[in-house]
Amino acid sequence: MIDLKKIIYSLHPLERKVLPLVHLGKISEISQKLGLSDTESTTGIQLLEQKEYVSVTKFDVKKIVLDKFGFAFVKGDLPEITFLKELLSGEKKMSELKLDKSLVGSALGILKKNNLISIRKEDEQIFSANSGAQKFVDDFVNPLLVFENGVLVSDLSGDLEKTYLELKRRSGFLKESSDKGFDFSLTALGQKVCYEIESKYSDLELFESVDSSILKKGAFENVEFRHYDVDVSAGYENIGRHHPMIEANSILSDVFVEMGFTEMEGPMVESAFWNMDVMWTPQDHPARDEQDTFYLEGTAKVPAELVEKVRVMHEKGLKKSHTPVGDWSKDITSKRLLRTQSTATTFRMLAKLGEKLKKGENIDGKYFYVAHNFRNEAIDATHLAEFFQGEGFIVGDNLSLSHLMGFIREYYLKLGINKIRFKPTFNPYTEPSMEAHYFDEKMNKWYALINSGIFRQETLVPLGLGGKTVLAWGMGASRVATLLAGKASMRDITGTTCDFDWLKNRPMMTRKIVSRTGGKN
Amino acid sequence: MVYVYAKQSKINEYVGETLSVEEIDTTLQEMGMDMKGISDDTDPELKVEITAEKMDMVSVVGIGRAIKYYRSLASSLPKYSIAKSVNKVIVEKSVSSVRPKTVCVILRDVNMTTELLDEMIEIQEKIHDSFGRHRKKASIGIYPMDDFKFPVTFRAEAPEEIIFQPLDSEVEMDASEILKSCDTGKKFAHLLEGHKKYPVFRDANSQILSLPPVINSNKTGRVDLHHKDLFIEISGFNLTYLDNLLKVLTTTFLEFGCSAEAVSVEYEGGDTYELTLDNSKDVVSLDYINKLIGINVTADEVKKLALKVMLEVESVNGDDITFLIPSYRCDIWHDSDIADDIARAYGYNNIVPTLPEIVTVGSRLEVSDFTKRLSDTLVGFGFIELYSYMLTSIKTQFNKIGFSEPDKKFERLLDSEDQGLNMLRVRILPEILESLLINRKNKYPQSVFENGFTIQKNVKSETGADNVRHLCAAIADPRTNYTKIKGALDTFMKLNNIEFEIKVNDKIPFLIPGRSAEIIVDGKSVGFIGEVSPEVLVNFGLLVPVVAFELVIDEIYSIINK
Repeated sequence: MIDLKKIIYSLHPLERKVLPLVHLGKISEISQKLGLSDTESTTGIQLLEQKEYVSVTKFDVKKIVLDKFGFAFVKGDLPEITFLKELLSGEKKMSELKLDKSLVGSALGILKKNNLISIRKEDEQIFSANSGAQKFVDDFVNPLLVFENGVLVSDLSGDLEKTYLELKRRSGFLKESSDKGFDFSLTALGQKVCYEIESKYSDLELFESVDSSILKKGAFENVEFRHYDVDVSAGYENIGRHHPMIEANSILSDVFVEMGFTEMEGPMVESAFWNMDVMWTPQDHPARDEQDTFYLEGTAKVPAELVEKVRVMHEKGLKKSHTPVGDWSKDITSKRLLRTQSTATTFRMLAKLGEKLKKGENIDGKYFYVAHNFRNEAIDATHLAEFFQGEGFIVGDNLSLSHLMGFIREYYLKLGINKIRFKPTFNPYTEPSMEAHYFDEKMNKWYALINSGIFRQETLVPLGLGGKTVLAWGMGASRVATLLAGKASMRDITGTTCDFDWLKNRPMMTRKIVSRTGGKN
Repeated sequence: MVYVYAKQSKINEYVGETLSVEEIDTTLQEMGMDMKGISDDTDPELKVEITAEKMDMVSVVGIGRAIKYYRSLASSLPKYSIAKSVNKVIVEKSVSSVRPKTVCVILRDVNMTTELLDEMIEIQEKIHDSFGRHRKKASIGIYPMDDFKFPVTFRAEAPEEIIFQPLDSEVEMDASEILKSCDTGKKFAHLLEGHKKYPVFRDANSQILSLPPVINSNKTGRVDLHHKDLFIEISGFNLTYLDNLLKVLTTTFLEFGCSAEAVSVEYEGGDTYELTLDNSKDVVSLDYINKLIGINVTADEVKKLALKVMLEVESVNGDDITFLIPSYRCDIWHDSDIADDIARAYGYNNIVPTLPEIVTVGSRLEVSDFTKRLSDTLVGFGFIELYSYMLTSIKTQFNKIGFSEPDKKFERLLDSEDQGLNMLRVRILPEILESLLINRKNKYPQSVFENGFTIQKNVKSETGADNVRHLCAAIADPRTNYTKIKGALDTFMKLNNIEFEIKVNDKIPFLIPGRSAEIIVDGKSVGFIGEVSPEVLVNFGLLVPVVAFELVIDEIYSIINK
């Protein structure tokens, strides 16, 4: 059952005006009756067509019509044709000519050149038509007459087409014209609506908006508003957004804070000492090559006392150790570089904690840093010279590998990642060293999430933390960001090449906190 | 990381069990190694990733041996014996400045086949490239015993005195020529660069064996299928390191069924070196192992687990366990390495994850909260946050915004793999202008901001430079002008309770004079505001006006927290 009332209440004012006059069939007439411009009436028809109350048929008729020259020929506006036609009914003296005398001269030239007339001279000039004159008129003027009212292109065929092609060779006689427009009429539904308006709602008054005049009335029983299409697509809001990388970093930081971690920060321009040496990474370690590290000019200040302790550890190792200890140079330790790992900041914090421990303070704690790091490599889809690492550590007594696993599992559960597995690995400064991998259901593949471990005593003893246990990790924060943003690579979401429209319209980042499944704890 | 390519059948031959590729992969994972690729063959070749401490696994035979033990297919540690050789190598003092150390061994009764020779050369090259640091730290030479006479001398000589026919060459030449014209010579010439004398091994008849770490002699240093006895030397700098490598290399070759003799290496001045393959010992507490790993195993269980990772429990005394460590296990440095090996044998995924019981209260840094609040304000104004990189170019940071010379000190990269990058940014606006260019086809107005780090030189700071937070906001729109961005700045500062003044400055080169200013907080200049000049817009390829402000957030933060 069609709700005609609803339809009528939803009509735009223009639609309501135009609808009852659709039967006139012509825009100009509708405009005239309503006192609208043709554009307004046309808009009205178009709106009604969208709602299927009016059906519109567009037409585009192509016709051959007389061009300006042909028109002049047929109407006899050309002096030479008027002149010639006069002579075809018998020779004429100059004084007998109906043609304006001033035009005779120019007409004469053309006609004589084409050998269509002859001139004799008695007491005045006498003009007569030559034998070819009639044929000229028959060949040109008469065929043109056929096109006087226009011929449909679709009707051109046979002799008519031949004539057309013949005449077309001369420019200015014929042309193609296009007659565009549209016909419209009420649809069956339109007729019903129309009838309903005329019979029941001719006096209906609907308000467009809640304006002050209505509000001042105070009584609203008779106030009715036009109904809107409430499902209309209204376009999207022009809004502000946070960047997905920043948003993801916030989420990672939030999870750390929820788990009781305190944020730390440290310089991105580091010394080789804090970036590598303090971590007991041998000075000839391949990771220290220039291909992997951005080195900077000049030298950094390094803490002399601590450097000395670290040097001894590099050269001698721990008591009872089988370490293949290496030579060690002070020049290398003060080199400036862009930190390749925020673990540099972790060690700065550990050094501070070592000082506190000396004073007898309790240093057990949890720290984190979602940090910029740099790697000197050519940028491509999977490698970025600049990336984020979710750095963190837990310091205490009697901490174990199983605690490290417990932290990692809990952390990723909070990000919605529950399928993870652990794998031993190697780092120069941790033992045990462990990676965690997560299973990407979409890609059907395991991906590395985090590199972690328990700091070697060789790294802790110089800091005054010998005997303490430090669980530490660096997680690929960029990887998690791309995962949360639903993109394949970091390059899609960072850098100056990022698309503003995507940044604006991307879905909100969600943190799916999953419950533990199949956990043993 | 080192990659070893190994046929499945070859691994299985050394393991002594027929394992599927999946079984090999799983075992490797549990041991801490990885399978990174596989060829598409009926007997596929596996690309195995060996971590950087596992010297004893950089050969197919080494991988096979480790898997065999991990799968409990052996009941005791492998026994490698070594006899004493009568032969000597003399190391003269002259080598001390160029390549001071060498360690040597003799292999007897090698049952040489083409396959074995290939495998030995492969192991040699693997060690060169990984632990040898491309021959810099250690290089290995192998020579047939048939072609020279002991004692061998290791000494340094002037290049023109070192004349021999290098491997694969028809003619004799001197050392300088070898480094200039031979392919191998050219490749490793840099390792001898700057030295007046080069190291050389000569035999009792003064015949040259090799020019380490570059190339062997074609006459005395070419191993063929008919050779049964081989002399091996490793030269380098650190005796402990070379000794470790020789232990790994010798025990690996002994797996092929030959025997070994320790050569006495006599250093001028009295020191001698002789290879031993004895197990070493370490006493580790059971309690320490259980606590570090978070498991609860008995000494008996440790006994079984130890053998899986090629360690042996010699004795148990209360809580103390004495472990025997094979000579080639150079990755066992300290107690934690033994504990970790027990964990690997136990299986990482059999350990029960447990949350640490340290109770703490978490918090972000105050400056992080402050920074986030500033970004939130601008998002509320309808600005989109951008994130561009800190690594950028002098062209973008200076030249394109109207400085022919840098206007301030900045951190320049000494060397970059990416040609386009040569510095760390000192301001954010130029990076935003780059983004606006990329997005010029998107709808205007475009209101964007970035709240991120710059790197500013600071001679007073420990590392000579500081991370300094900047915030830059910009509007690009055909109808925008100064008042739009001033309105944004006024609102932004008001909402964040930052009192500021505007100080006219017509000399900011990238802004239009008369429409540009400095932003002053507490008498200090903390940023700029203005309309970007048309020259700069054109330099960035922009055809639309841009207005912007940039603030030094760390400066403002420290002022308002005074």
